This record gives sequence, structure tokens and C-alpha cells, in this order.
Amino acid sequence: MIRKIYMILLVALGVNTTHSSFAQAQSLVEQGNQVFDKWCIACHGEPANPIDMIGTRRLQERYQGALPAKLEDRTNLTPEFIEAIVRGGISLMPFFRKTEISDEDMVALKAYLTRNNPN
Amino acid sequence: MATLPPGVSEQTFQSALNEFRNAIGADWVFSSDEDVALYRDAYNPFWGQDELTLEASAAVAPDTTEQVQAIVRIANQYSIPLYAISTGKNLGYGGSSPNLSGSLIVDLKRMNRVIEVNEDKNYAIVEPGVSYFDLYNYIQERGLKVWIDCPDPGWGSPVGNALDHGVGYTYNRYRDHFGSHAGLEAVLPNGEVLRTGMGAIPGGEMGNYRYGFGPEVDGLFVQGNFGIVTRMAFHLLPEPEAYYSGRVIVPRRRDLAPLVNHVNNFEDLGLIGQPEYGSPAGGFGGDNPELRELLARPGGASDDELDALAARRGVGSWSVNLQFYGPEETVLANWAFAQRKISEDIEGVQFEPGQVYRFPMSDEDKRTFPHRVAIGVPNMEIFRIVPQDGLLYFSALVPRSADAIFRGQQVFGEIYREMGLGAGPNPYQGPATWHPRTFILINGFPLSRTDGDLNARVRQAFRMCIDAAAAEGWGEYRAPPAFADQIMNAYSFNNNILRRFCEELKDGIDPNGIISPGRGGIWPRNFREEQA
Repeated sequence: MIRKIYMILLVALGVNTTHSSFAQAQSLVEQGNQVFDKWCIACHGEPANPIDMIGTRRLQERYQGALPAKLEDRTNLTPEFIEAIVRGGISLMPFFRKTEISDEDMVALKAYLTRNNPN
Repeated sequence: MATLPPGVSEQTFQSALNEFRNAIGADWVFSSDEDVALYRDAYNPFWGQDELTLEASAAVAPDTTEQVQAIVRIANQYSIPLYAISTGKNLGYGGSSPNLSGSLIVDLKRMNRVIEVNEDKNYAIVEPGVSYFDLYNYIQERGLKVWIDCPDPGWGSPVGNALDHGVGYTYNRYRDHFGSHAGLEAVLPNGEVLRTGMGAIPGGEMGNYRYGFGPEVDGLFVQGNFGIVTRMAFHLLPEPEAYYSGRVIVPRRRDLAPLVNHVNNFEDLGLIGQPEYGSPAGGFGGDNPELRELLARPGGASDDELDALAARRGVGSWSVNLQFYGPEETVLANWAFAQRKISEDIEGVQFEPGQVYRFPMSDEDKRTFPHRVAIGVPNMEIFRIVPQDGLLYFSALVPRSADAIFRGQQVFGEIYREMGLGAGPNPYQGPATWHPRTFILINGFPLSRTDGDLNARVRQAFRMCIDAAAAEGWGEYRAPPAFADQIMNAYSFNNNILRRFCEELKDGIDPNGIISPGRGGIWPRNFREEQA
């Protein structure tokens, strides 16, 4: 099942699956996890006290439980949306330059945040 | 179509870009509109009036000091103004925006090496692209027994923060971040590399002693445009055995005066870290309905009325959290001393004891610690105070007294009300005490991505605050580029000799005016002549 999701993901990302392997897809997701941990998790992680994780808190306020407040739990983020937010910013979140999240990192981040999307 | 550097033709600019590509690699020269837009100020005071936005022409991202030298030499050859950023996260104070539209951003994020952390002599040497998170992780991964002193947002750069007089939370000799530096390396406007302090001696230890011999020139690189700093050494706090924070609450508004005097003394005796003032009566933004009603009356409220309301609500007027670091015995003894001294002066004072935290602390305990920057753990909690679309910080330096605080509340509050920006500072706005020897009255002006009128009003209010502060003998310690000139001009003693002196230096060492024109309100000759 997981393998299937990765393969679908690769298709969605426009990756040539003919020459791609499950291991490569997994590696891309892991790389994306690292990008998330470096650049996103400080605001979009699990709150540990009443004032941290502003990203998770603001999304909780916005969605009121209709969608998960933690980005890693979402299953409806699209690659296009992820790129638009990371490069365009939203609300108090600034945009990220390519010296921070490179185009290559962006592909991996998209893979990570869409890994659990349904078919 | 990108904004071109002033006076530079498209053809010349393209030639320069090609030279930059040859020098540092084509992948690290960003010239497409979409890439260059990433260098705008993310909290942009000109949203809604894009024609006023300060825009870069392109960006280059060197990996080494040698590449920075090459960039500076090419910039001289083609008269391309540069603007260097470290991590570009100076949000509320300009982000990665240049002072001059058309400047080419030198993005130092790739220079992200921790060159050394020395736990025997308690210093670190880092490049500009290193963030507080990076340095903290480096230290933790190696189990080194030193602390960093971090500002509120952990993604900033120790180098960049120090070079904008950024501040933190522990003892005063660490939380003034430029004050805690031990020497630096900079690429000068002619492309030469300068090292200061003991780093100026071949084989010398940069983390040792900042002054070396002769004039100390390091300050020229702070909010200035005399070179591009490529590494800095910082003194680090050795991990203390214990941390303790106790809270002091005083009943009356005027009790702030003796409270401030005592806390100033504790600070200057080296007994406490950053004292955090607050107000149980004022709350955050004065959101108590009774208080709001009282303050909305013409002429506001008297101290007696405010004190009566606070007494009825059973809350104090002011609080201050005192932080102690060191051996367990001494942190508790210093807390006892603080209580004794304040009790002698302020009737009805209350003390809320905290708890002793011991180090090393587990990762889980750090994660749940109530104010992590106080123990040198970088995080992003501060963004909880940022309104919807970001803000501008107006940060006035005022003397360390209650009188100055009360006066500031009045002066800046009037501007908020006049400009229709809400109630603004109320009678319980306290001082920010990050800088150990001055108070900062900080006010955040909200920005909007869609409401250009609001942003225009905010800009006008900001300018009124600068003038109002200057009339009191106050100035700002840091500001977005759009306001740098007005702020620098307020430091006007002897016909602006401070600015004129800096301009003379600027013309001498940067004759082509290529390093960050306008930074700190200092313009090179060619731009001064244009403005005249």
C-alpha cells in the first residue's frame, strides 16, 4: 500500500516512474521530512506549551478541526499549493528564498507533505 | 522586469551578471523576477503601493569569503550597489530588503559554517549564514557545555543579529549581541579582507579579545556600510548549574519608579539576566473592559482611578520576572536579596517564587520550559504576537526610568489615536529591557497585504513617532530601511556631525559607493549629490 502511494506520488510530481524505484521515492520523502524539520517544524510542529507553534495554532483557529492543524497530518495539500505558500508566504509567514529551500528541496518537501494523500 | 541599479544600463547589468556567474557559479546568481521577489521585505510597509517598494535588482549567493571578495571587485568595476544579508530574517525591521532599490543582494545564507565552538574558553566563531538553531544544534550534538544567548526568533543569524544591535535574554554581557562579540572578519569595499581583535595577528585567536590594539573599528560594520562581515566570534555563557525566575508584583502604577531603580541596580550589579516587565492590571493590550472604558474617557484616567480599579480587581499594577543564573546557592541568595531590597521601598509588594531548574536539562524538559529563550534554547514563540500580515517595530531608546516610560506612553499613544490605529500604548505599557543599559519602548504597527491605506497610515504614524521621540531627546535603535534616513537625521547634534563623519569615512573607503548605500542613513557621495 505504502509503495503504491509513493508511486502515485511520483506520477503526481511528474517524476518518470519507469526508471524510478520505490527506494528512490522513499528517499525523496525522507529528504522532504528533513526539509520540513529544518524549515517548517519550528512553527508547524506539535505545540509543547501554550505559546509555541504559531503555524499550527493559527491553522487550528482557521479550520476549527475541519482539517488537521498540523501540516504533516494533512492529506489534501497539493504540490502547487505548497509551492505557492512557501514562495509567496501567507499571513505572517514570510516567503522562503532558494538559498533556504532550493528547488530540489521543494520537490522533496512536496513529496513529504503529500505522502498520505488519497489516490 | 527587474529593477536596474541606478545609472546602470540593462546591457551593463547583464555583463555584470555574467561576471558574477563566472565568479560563483550560475546556480547562485538569481535574476529572474520570481527569484528576486523573494528578497522583498516580507513585512512590507509598501504593500498596496508597489511602486514604492524597495526592490533588489538581482541576488548572488557566495559560498566563501573569496567569493565575496570577487563579488565586491566586480561590483566596483560595474558600479553595482550591493546589499548584504545574513539569513534575511530581520522581520519587522526590513527583512532582506535593501535601502536602495536596484541594489544587488549578497545573500550569505550558504556561508553557514560553524568554524569553532570552544568550551574551554567559551566562544564560538561562525559565518553569517549560521542561524541560532544551527549553532544551538551544533553545540547540543557535541554535548558542549556552553549556552548561546538567542533573540526571540531562532532562525536569525548571530552575525546578522549582532550587526543590527540585536539582543537576547541572559546576562547583560551576553544578551547585547554585538557587545558580546570578540572579533570579526569583513570584506572591505575594495575587496580586501580585514580581521579585527586578535584575529588581526596571523595565528591569533579571534575568540580571545576584541580590542586588539589601536582604534576599534568593529562598530563601523554595525548598521553601517563599510564592508561585508564574513565571520564573527562571540563569547558564550558556560552552562550554569541552575536557573531561577521569581516574580515581583507591585500594587500601584507609580510603584514602577522605585521598582525600576532596584531592578536597574540588580542588573548593573550583574545579579540578574533580562528583567521581564509586565502588568497584571494592563494585561496584554489593556483588554479589560473596565480599564478600556476608563481609558476611553476624554483626558484618560488618573493614577488614583487606575489604582482603585486594580485594587478592586485584586491585581497588581506591574510585575517583573527576575532571572538568575549560576550556582543553586547563589541564585536563591540573589532572589532573597532582591526581595529584601524591594520590600524596603514598596509597600504591598508581593513575591511569587518560581522553581529551580538544573542543568543539563533533558530535551523534553526544554521543550516544555515556559520561556525557552531565557535558557538559550532557540524557538519561534514570539510570532504569537505578530498580527495577521506582519508588523513594523517602532523601537525608541529611552532612559531607564519610570518617568520616561510614562512620558513615552503619552507621546506615542497620542499618535496612535490621532492616526486611528487603535488605543496604542496604554498606561501599563512597560519597557523592553533586552539592551542592558537602556530601555526600549517598542510598539508594533500592524501591516496589511491588501489594505494599502492602512499601510500608508502606519508609515505616517511611524514617521510621526520618530519626530516625537526626537523632540524628547530619544532615538531609535533599529528600524526598517524606509525610515533609516529620518532616524539618522534625528541624531543631529552639531549639525549632524555623526552622519557627516560617517559620510566622510564612507567616501574615503568606498569611493564607488557600492556597499549597502543608505544603510544606517549613510549614503555615498554620488547618491548624496543626487538627493541634494
